[in-house]
Amino acid sequence: MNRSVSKAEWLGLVLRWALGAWMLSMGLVKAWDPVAFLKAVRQYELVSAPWLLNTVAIAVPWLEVFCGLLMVTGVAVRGTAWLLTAMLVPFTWLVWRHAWILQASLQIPFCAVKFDCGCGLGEVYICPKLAENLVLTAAAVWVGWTGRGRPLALRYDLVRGRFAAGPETG
Amino acid sequence: MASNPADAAGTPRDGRSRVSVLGEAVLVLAAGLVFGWLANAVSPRGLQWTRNYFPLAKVEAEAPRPAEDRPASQDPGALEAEAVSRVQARGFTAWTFARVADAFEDPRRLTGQVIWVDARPEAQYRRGHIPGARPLDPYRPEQQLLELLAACLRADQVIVYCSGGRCEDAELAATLLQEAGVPRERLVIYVGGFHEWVEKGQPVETSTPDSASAGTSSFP
Repeated sequence: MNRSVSKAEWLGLVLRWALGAWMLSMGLVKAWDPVAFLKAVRQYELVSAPWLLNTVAIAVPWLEVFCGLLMVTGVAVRGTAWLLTAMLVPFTWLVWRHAWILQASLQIPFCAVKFDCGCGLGEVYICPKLAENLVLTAAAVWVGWTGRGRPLALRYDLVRGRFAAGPETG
Repeated sequence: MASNPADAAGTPRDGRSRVSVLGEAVLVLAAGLVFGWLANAVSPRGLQWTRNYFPLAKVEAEAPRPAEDRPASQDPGALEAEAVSRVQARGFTAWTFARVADAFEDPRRLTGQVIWVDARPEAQYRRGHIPGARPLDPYRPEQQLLELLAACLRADQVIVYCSGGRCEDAELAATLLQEAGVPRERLVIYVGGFHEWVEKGQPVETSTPDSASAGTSSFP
């Protein structure tokens, strides 16, 4: 290992692996039971057209698996990190909104709301779920913004050249 | 392997690098969608893009009215009332536990005049179901519907259940049976579902219709 690799790079590597492993495992759980995920997506009443609902239920799990693989292996890391951010932010907002509706109709405290958000873990309490999503989003933003986590990356920048953000690696 | 001497802050150097990263994200998205399309196509659990998995009419369920001393989430009566209202709004007959328990004692259950249909996923069905119930997963009904239809057409009554509560899979399965020719008036939805059945300590069977080794137990 190169001794000149900074602590920030190692932190980036840990975050990259953690984020990738998490997305990979959650994506596989959803892909294993796509009907359960389809029902979970339907509860958010995002789309009404069946083909659009099916598209979301088909695309999201495998996209998570794909992004997880890229993060773990270190391919196109920054683009993947921003894509994960773009998925996590609206999803977190949807989960929050659904929990808000539930707590209003059930007349219970917000943190007592428990439902299957389609996250891959079954029924979860809303507050730990939101905290988890905030941590994941922060990790994705940090990796995407700083470009850290280059050690052991197969091809950190997919597009190499004079406009690439970081140095040639791997 | 190398350190990242990109810049002091480690942030993108200029707008063009941001464009490069954005382009990378778009490429990853496109490749991920293609990956998803292929994976779904080869997966035995894959979904069909164009199928309407929820052919039920949308029902504006009346918000559950909580009992005075406890929230609706803890009030099984409110949940049951909500389910009965939803099932009836869709034109099906809704039965609660008392009616279902009577039907279970009905000897016609043993002669095939009263058929029980379990609309939960097959894995849950295999872990335990109401004795004598046949599986019909409304999301993958093709084979099971073929096996079940003749018996349902002969029966006087078809009792369909899923997990209970807000689960709509029993209504989906009943809709499939109706579309296949079973008269609507013979179809009954057990709104309490399997969870209530177990909670009430009723017997549960773990064998499948085609398996020889039957196992029936009564859950506490």
